[in-house]
Amino acid sequence: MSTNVKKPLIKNPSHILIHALLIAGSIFMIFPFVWMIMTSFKSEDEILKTGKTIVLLPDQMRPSFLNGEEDKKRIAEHQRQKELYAASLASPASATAGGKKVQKPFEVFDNYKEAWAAQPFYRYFLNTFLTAITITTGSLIFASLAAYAFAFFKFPFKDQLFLLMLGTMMLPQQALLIPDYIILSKLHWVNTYMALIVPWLASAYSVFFLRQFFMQLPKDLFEAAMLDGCTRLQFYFKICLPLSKPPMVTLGIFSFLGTWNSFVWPLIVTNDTSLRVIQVGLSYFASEAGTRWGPLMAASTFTIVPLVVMYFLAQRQFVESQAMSGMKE
Amino acid sequence: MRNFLIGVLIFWFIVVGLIIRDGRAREAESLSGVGGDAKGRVEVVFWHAMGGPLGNVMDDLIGRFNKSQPTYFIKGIPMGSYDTLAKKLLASLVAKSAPDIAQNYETLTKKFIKHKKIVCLDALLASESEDIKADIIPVLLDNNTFDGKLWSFPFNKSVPVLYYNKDIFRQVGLDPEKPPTTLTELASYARHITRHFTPENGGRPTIIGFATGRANVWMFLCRVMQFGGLLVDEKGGKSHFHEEPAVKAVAFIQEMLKEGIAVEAQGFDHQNDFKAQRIAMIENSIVSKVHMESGIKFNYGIAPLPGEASRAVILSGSNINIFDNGDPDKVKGAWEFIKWFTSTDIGAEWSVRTTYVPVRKSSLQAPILMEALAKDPNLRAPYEELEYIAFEPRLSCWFEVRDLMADVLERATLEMGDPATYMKEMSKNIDGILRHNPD
Repeated sequence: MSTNVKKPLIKNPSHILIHALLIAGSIFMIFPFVWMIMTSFKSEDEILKTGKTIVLLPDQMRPSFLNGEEDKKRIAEHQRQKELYAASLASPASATAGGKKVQKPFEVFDNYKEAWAAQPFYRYFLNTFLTAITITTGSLIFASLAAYAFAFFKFPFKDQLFLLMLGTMMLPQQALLIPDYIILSKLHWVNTYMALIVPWLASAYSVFFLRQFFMQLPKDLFEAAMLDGCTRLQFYFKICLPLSKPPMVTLGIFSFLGTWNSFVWPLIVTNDTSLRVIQVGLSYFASEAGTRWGPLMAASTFTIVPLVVMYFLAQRQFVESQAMSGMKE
Repeated sequence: MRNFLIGVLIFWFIVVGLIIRDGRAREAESLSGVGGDAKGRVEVVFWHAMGGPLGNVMDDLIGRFNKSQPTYFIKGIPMGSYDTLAKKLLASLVAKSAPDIAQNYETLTKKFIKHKKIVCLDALLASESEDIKADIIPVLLDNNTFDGKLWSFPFNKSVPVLYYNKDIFRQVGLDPEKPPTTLTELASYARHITRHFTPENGGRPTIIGFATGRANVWMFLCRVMQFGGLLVDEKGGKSHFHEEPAVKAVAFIQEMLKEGIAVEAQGFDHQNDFKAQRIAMIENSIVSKVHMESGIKFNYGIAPLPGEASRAVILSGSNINIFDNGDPDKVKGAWEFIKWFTSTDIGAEWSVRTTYVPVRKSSLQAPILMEALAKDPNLRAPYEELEYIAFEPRLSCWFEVRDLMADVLERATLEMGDPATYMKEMSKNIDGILRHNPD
């Protein structure tokens, strides 16, 4: 790339519109996340009682000129409580003001501390990682092998089998919940890791998706490889897979996200806390008579951190593999 | 790519290693943990739907029961919501892996009786030297009696109440010790409060008088009864929602909404608005108190729901079933636990700590409850309501009926059409469901 050629900032005026739309779209998408993170730093008082100004920033992070009347009052009250608490720590005699014990004032990370302590999230994370990684890799292996067979080989009842498999996609998950549970129960898998993992190792959608991709690979490639003495498995490993990184990464992300976010299934098939996953942990903060927003948002925040990291790691693979697909046939 | 895959593999092994380590640590902990472990005891599996602060109280009590005796070990397993619990119960019954006890609604109990999945409690009660039945609060007993037999035990039953902001009452010149007792009064209080907080030059009021949940079937049914109406006949399959009281119940909310002295909230949002002092009065379950009180920075009161033609409230919450898994020891253990949990003192403690209604009359006189009432008068409302409590029809199609009602109610306040038309439609459609599901 030459450095002395000045690039115009905007090549095409219509790009301005496109960019404006894209920026608006991303703000729209990002807003819930920003709200989540900001809420996780707020006391319950603050969450419920936002002043007229910038509602997003927590009291302790907002520059004072943005504060409305109500905000100022609340911040002053918080300050007073802090002093009271400090005084009560200094002299235990004043620890009870007017018969009431002085409450510890809210600190920025209190929601995080509360959330982390409320449930064994450490174990939930481990369980979620285990299931998500196993399911993602497992389902990619099984799906790509099945798709490979459907795309390249001829065998009896191939079309019928493929249709049958597609048929399973039409059944809603909810309808399968109870029959699936019964099967697991007969296998004595209820309340084991098997129940969390095995039913998700095969996915009709992934097979279908990969088959469509494999069908686009030139048949000549397959025939040439066979002529050169390549075995079918060798072709799968050495040619087919390396060429299909983009769909594999896409499916991988889907299946990782899906597992990470699954809630009802893990709740139904497990009983012990030691087998539960993070989404089940999150549900602890929302009960029939109200939701604890602060801790819930704190827990949600630390729940999505691994997802974001994973996404960035996988994204690099994604870009890399797209760059490679530009080769000449 | 290869490095990425190797990285994933290594990470996977680390995770597995950590899980094994964590498992060992847990095992060691549970050996020395609260309530001991199940070794050598009869393990009774208990599925419940208590989460959050209620779950903590539940865990505490289960732990204490386990420590209190050497024979039985209750293994409490939280299942999230009642809805997931019900789903899992149905699946596990078909799969023959049901728990020994579980929280449950009456409609499902009916189904379980039909399919002979649960144990009738009459024989267990008869084996006791104490006459427990005589001490159970009558409405709770009726609620769990089917064809003269007690099939489930009242466990965590709640009632709706009126929450009101005493500071706002004082500010607008209302007596904070005199909450509204009739619906007419409720509306006039709401009007008074809303007007007081409406800016002189017009514009939105800063505080609104009253709020309830949108399409809240529970509150609607209470109001129908408060206007002197009937709901659905448990036998005979006929609904009464086309009648005057139900029409009045819908009209009441519609008029308040139109006037702007009340708002409807999605789910539990009105609870948050009440906490934030944007709403002066709300109606909600007494159990919400446990969730709300930590953040409330003002003086508030809890009163029985206002009546009109008569005072009336409807029970919510669940009962407990003992499942017939063919092991008399487990049934015995389950019964021991239920007996202990609902006994005079423990029942009173459960009631004080969670605001659920106690099962036994004697709990109402228990020292722990008397003490708590003296300390926190806001606990009083549910006990006052005990005199005129009712329960929803126990029909096997009741959930379907409820969904239908929620649908019509939502439309009634969104479209604001003629209340009688909505109610006629509701009644007709419910009768249609009842015709196909007579029990």
